[in-house]
Amino acid sequence: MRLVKRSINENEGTGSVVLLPTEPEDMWHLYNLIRPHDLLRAPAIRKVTDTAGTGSTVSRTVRTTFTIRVKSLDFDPHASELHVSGIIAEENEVVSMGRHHTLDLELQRQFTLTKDPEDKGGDGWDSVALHTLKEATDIRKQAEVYAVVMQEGLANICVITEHQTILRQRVEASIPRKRAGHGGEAHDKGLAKFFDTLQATLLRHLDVDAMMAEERRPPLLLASPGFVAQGFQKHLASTALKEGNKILGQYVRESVLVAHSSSGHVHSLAEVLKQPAVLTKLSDTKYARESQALEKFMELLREDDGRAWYGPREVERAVEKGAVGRGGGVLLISNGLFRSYDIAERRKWVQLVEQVQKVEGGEVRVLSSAHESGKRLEGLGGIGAILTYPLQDLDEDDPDDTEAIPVAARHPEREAEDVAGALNL
Amino acid sequence: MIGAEGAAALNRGGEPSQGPCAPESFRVLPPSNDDISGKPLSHAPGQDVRPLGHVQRRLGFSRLVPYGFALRPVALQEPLVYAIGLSSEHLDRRVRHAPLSTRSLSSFVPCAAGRSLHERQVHRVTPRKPRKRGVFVDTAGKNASQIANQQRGSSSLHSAGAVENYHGLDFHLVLIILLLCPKRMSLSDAVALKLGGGKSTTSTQQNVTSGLSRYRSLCSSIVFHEQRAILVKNDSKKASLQSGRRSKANTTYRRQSLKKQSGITTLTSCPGKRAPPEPKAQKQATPSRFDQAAQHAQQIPVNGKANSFSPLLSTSLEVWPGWRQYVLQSPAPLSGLDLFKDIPWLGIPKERLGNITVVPVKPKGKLLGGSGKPSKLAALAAARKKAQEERKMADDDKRNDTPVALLDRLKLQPESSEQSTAERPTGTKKNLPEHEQGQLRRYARPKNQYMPKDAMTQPTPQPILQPAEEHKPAPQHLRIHPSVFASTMLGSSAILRPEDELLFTMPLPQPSTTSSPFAGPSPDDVVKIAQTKGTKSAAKASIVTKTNDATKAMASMKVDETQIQLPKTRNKHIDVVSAYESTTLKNAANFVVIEDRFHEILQQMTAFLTTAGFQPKNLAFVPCAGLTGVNVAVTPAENLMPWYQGVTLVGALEASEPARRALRDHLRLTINDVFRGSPQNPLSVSGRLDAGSVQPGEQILAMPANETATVRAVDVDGEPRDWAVAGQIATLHLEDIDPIHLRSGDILCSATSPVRNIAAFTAKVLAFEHVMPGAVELHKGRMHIAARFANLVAVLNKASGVVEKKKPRIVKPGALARVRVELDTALPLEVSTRVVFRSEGTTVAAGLIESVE
Repeated sequence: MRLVKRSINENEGTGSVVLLPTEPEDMWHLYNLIRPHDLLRAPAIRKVTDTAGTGSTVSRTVRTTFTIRVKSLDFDPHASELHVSGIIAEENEVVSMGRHHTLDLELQRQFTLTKDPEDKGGDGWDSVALHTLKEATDIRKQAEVYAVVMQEGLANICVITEHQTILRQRVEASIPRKRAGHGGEAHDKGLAKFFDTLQATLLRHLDVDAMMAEERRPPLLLASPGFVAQGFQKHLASTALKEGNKILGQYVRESVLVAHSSSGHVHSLAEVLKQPAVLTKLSDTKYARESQALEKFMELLREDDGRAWYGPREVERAVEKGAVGRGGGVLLISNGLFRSYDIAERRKWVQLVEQVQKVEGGEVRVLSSAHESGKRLEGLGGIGAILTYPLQDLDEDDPDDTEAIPVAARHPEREAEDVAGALNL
Repeated sequence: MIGAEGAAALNRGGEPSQGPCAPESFRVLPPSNDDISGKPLSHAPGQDVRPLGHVQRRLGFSRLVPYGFALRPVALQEPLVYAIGLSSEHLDRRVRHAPLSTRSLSSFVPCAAGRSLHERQVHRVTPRKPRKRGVFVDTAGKNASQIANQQRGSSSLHSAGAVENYHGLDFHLVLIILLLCPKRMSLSDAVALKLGGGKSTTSTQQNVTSGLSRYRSLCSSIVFHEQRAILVKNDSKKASLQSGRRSKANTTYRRQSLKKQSGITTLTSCPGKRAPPEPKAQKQATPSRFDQAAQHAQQIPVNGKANSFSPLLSTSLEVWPGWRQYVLQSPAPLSGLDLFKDIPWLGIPKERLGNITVVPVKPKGKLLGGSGKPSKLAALAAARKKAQEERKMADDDKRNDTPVALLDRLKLQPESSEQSTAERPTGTKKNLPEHEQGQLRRYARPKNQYMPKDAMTQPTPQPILQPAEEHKPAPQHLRIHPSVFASTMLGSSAILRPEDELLFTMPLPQPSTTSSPFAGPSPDDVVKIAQTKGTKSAAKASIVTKTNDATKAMASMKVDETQIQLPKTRNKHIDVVSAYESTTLKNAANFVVIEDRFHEILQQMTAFLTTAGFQPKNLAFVPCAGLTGVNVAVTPAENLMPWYQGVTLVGALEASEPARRALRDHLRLTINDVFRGSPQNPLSVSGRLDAGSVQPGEQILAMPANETATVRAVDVDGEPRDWAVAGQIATLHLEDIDPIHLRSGDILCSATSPVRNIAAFTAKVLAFEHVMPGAVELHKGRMHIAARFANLVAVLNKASGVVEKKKPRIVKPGALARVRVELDTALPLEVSTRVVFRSEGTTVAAGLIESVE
């Protein structure tokens, strides 16, 4: 994304920027940057119906520019589209003020974003917004990794970018098992068909010819349990050989990386990206840094010695006690928390971040909720902290203890047995 | 120096019509009487003449054959091709880039590629520097040093275009020339001469051997990419008439004759047009027998194919008047045999024969570093086979056909005791002379001829006197069949000399020594004795002079053999019992049931199983003996296991409750596999029935696809059945459903009470690893789905199931917990379904679904 014009008063948190999205991922940044109550001025297409004096109506499609006050955002990660709906906040010749409109932000069409904390409860250009803006307008070449996490009969084609892990396509096939007395023919046939389907799908998403022509070679990561990934790599290579596709052959030779994963589900990607062989290729990406930070947090959590805490209330208390400060205090927070439509809640998290960063001197890592590590953190409540000293019982005297727990009406004595039986012990 | 003149003439003008060639250059030398040429040609017809294949094999030339065609029937069909082979130039790879001059090429007609060579564009090249070795010069009567000097000195000789092709000829050429040239010279001599550098032949055998080894190594190392067979002719007109393509006037024909003189192979060459007119006239007057024979041979297809070399043959037949001259001088040759009657190799004295032994190719070592020895199995098989043969042979000896049996009885009567063991390799036939051994072996061959029964049972004792020679078996034809040419020339009556077989005798597996191999001390013993003796009598050994021969030493060693004393082992005088009692070694016993061990196992296992959640009342420990079956089915005797008062193993098993199956519930079947059962049943699924029953014709619902299907047939244990119930693993053949709706892991249920697809549920799980909120995989049978622990509801008491702690931050391994699980996609799951959660390759938790949302 290009920053065309920047007029922000950082002290007051007021001002506006003119931005030009250039890549699909910019929509993700804008999804995190544009907040309710912000003013967005962008080109729009609107169908206008004019009513003549006689009562007849004429409809026409008008290309114009609207300024809306944002009410809600809708982000489609697969298509990387951002739909911002709001109320028209400025006089316009085709539509009157107060009417609703949904702006579809488009690539290569610049727009103006204005934030003002005083204006109708907006939160202005706070530190998180400025950080997001800085990240979004970073002109460095964005790393990009294609990954296929697979197992027999299931494959997930993903793209790992700097800020997102996008599941592009899920390929499923039914592969018969090897049966006694029938050899493995049906299995082999099914596997070959699965590979064919997967390859065709993958090459639709991964335009190898175009990439090689642009001298761009994003690594392709094939991860699976067993030898499925190796088999698929061989299948790719043999296809390249069979079809005489030298470009694909070269790509497979040079840029395909085979790794192990415990399953073919997308969340196994986290485990794949921890492997040293893969990390060497990704070490500089934000994703890898996020993964490492979360891994360290999980490790401390397993030790259960009171140095790692997760959950909004627990982390808030820890920050209050000054445990997330200088000398190892790390605050992990998912950017999903900042996207809250509740301005007060958003402000709370922004204040927490600012306190850790500026007052306590701790480290803050904003994890992208579109990444696998961010999703894991969201599972923990979207926020976690590594403390500088152990704290116990942060989770005590919870007011939510009376929460109803659905329990099946079963005999309590048999429960333990059933569980043991479930394990076939 | 006539040849040199001719060569110089070639070099000068390129026109080979300058002056007549001296007739003496065509003279074929009569057989000389020196030692090299051997005895005069006095072999009986049919005895001396062998096909070329014989020589070829004898020299190991078979290795040459794959590389080229010099020794293929081409050579045999063209006796006038008396210079075939390779020059060292041709062997040189550079020859590709430095082709021969046109003229010199035209004078040489390579036997296979020759016809096309004339059409090839070749360029004149500057004369190369002569090589020192392997030079043919036309200096009859000179000795080796003179030739060598001349060779180095005279540039005229080597600058001659035609001669240039000669000077590089090496022993390849020589060898092959000798094979084909009807000259009086032994093959071994020539080889020795050539390979020995043209020196005198005092150590001919040695030279032959070394030369051949060199030759072989060369053969194997050089790719004969430029192999040529050189055809030298002396009648250009005739050739141009016969071969339309070869119409160029400058085609040079020359005559070469090999001459052995004072240990040097010389080549007499002359431009063709100087050929004397006399041979021509003679040739025109009477077509030789050779011509006739060759023309006849030309009409005979080789191996059913037309002779591809016939045009060459026809051109080459007339071009060497020398042999005709020689033939004319011979007294009325009546057959082709006479043509070769003075071929030197036919009359080589034995002492001059090169002893060329073909080293048999040893089989490769076995896998895993085997030493090439046969495996045990193979050795056993061989021994069995040998024993069988011996037995059979003994039988055969009894019922041999009459003359042989009689003969045996006649001749080998005194050694009849040894006859049965004649084939043993232990040297029992040491007393037999060699020829008798051979006969023995020959007669010992089994002849499966029919024998009358009475003859077998009652062998006639009367000896019939018959000469043994009449029963000689026909010699085996180990050689290749004679070529067309050879058979034409010699008739079909080419007989192999029996003594030649010796040349091909392969080393017998039996040891040739007549003494018993175990008579003397073994080599190890010898060494040992020598060592002990050396230490004992070091002073003596120093006195013993070096001239003592080995037999003396052996004799003295034998005397000392009884006195060998190995170093003594000292007795440590250990009190073994006390030492044993002091050790902490485990008591080794084959079968002992130890009370302590039983209780140890019981305690450990009870602790583990209780930790895992089993209630002690459900555990039973039964000691029993696997070997004797004590306490398996029968209660042991009173005094055997006083410390155990429980039931037997069978009793304990019978006391256990069988698994209760929900037979009356609705159908639930987890699909294990979807496959094409047979052409009649294109869609089949297999899996265990968790609950309910199923029968053909029933309508079922496939979840999560929510598609109905009809059961066409039911198989249990591979056999068609009318029904299947819970607990059985059944194969259902389905119809009315698309296969894409069925995956392994899906649930088939009754259409009346289907399973619901759910996206979240609460489960009570036993944690094996730390359970934290986060992504896991849910497994149920073959079903696997991405899920996540949304929140940890509570940690429960394992025994009572009472909530111990609500909202735990983390569930430790081994703890029982209630968790809420969310699925990525909705799946058919029910309350009290057993599920397993795995993450990163480890099983995190397992449990039961308590409630679904």
